[in-house]
Amino acid sequence: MKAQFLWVPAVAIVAVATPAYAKVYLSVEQAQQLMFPGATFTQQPLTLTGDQVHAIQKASNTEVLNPQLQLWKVSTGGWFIVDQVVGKHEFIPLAVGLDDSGAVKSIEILEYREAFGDGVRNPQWLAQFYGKRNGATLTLTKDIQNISGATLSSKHITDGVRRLLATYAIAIAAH
Amino acid sequence: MPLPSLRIERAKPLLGTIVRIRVDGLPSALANDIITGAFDLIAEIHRLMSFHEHESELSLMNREASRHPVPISPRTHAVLSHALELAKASEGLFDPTVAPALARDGILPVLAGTSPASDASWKDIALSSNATVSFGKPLWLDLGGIAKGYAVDCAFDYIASHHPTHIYLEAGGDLRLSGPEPELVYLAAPYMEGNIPAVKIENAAVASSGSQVLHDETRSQQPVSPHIDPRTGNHCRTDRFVTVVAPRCTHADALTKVVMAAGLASAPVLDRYQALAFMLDGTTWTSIGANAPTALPCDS
Repeated sequence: MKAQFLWVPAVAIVAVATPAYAKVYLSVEQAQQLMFPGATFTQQPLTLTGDQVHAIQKASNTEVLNPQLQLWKVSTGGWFIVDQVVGKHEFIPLAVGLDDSGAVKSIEILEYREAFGDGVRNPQWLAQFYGKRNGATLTLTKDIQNISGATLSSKHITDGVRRLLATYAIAIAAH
Repeated sequence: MPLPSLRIERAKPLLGTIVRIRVDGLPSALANDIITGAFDLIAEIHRLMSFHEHESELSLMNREASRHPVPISPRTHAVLSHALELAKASEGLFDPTVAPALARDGILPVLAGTSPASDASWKDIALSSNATVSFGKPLWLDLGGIAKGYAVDCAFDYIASHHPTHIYLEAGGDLRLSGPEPELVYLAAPYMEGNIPAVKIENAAVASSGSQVLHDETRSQQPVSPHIDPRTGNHCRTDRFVTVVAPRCTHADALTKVVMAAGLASAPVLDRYQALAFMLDGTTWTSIGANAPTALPCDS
């Protein structure tokens, strides 16, 4: 084990950073194959009606931002949904696989555009702070989100999944 | 020219945060299977040791272990045994029974049922060799200060058994990595003169803790440290930021609490675990432990 403490000039970090940084983990197709290996996927056009939006919001206590669903029926049974939730600053696209009975089978984050965790930052994310005055404190959240608590982003993912389960019950199950 | 090594990276919401795993140098199908297995391990540890979930083993202990011995799984046994060993080694600077103070602050929920004894501490927890736990008095056990690091280690060891060239595993501020070259880890601490504090580590774990709590997450008007000094029951100072580097994330995670409470006095405990710490108090960085570099570059 080796460890060294150092200061990295923000300007050096900015030089290698892309301004609109987004880390892509999985494409929609890759997420589909991971969750339902070997299956084929049929996209189902589905736009929630005003009544359905209202019912989903009431059942899940979360806001429906987009009534148009990105929904696929899976040949081997179940459903695949691509959705997004609000992170700390930006949207987090994620994929949710539901089994035949509408229970969550898997969740994968497809892309991440903001600071991860909190004790650790990637250089691209840090670039946005370049030029701010000295001594500015980067916000921290690690301490209150240990195994039992939750960060804001992870809470919003939980809320988003609850909303999708309500969406399944109200609009997809009978589809 | 050698082919670039294959890199697979995925992220899932687990442990109340976002867990990110990167594996290099394995065929993609195998890497994906291993990453899925590692996520499953982390999810299992979360289910067993969640303070929030009524059905977890931890919740069962909190409800019943003060009345009769409660049998626990090998994983919970392992984490609790690490926790008690750290509590003993640090003379209570790490104490997994400070949950009532955290509940008072709204950081953890208040548990229904038994009220914890006001003088309960880690010394009231008895872990028997036949894998049962008894509490000498009613108390609220919370493994949040160590179980995340343990989950990182378990997932890391599982991935490492398949021999990829690099592993990077991060769970909200707790990180473990391995590979042939050192890697830079940026710290979410205040920076100075356009310079970002960072540690360069090789085959090690890092955990960082700060006290600047986000107001939107705790709803408090004033910055309050989410850390409790177990010796006094009071909050730790709010201008301290701690990064611990250790061979294993279980220790790095738990030792951040020790350094947060004791500062420089935590050196002997760090040494015992071959760990070291970098600590920021106000505007001054200090390194702690016999394994730490003695001089830090450009202290302000």
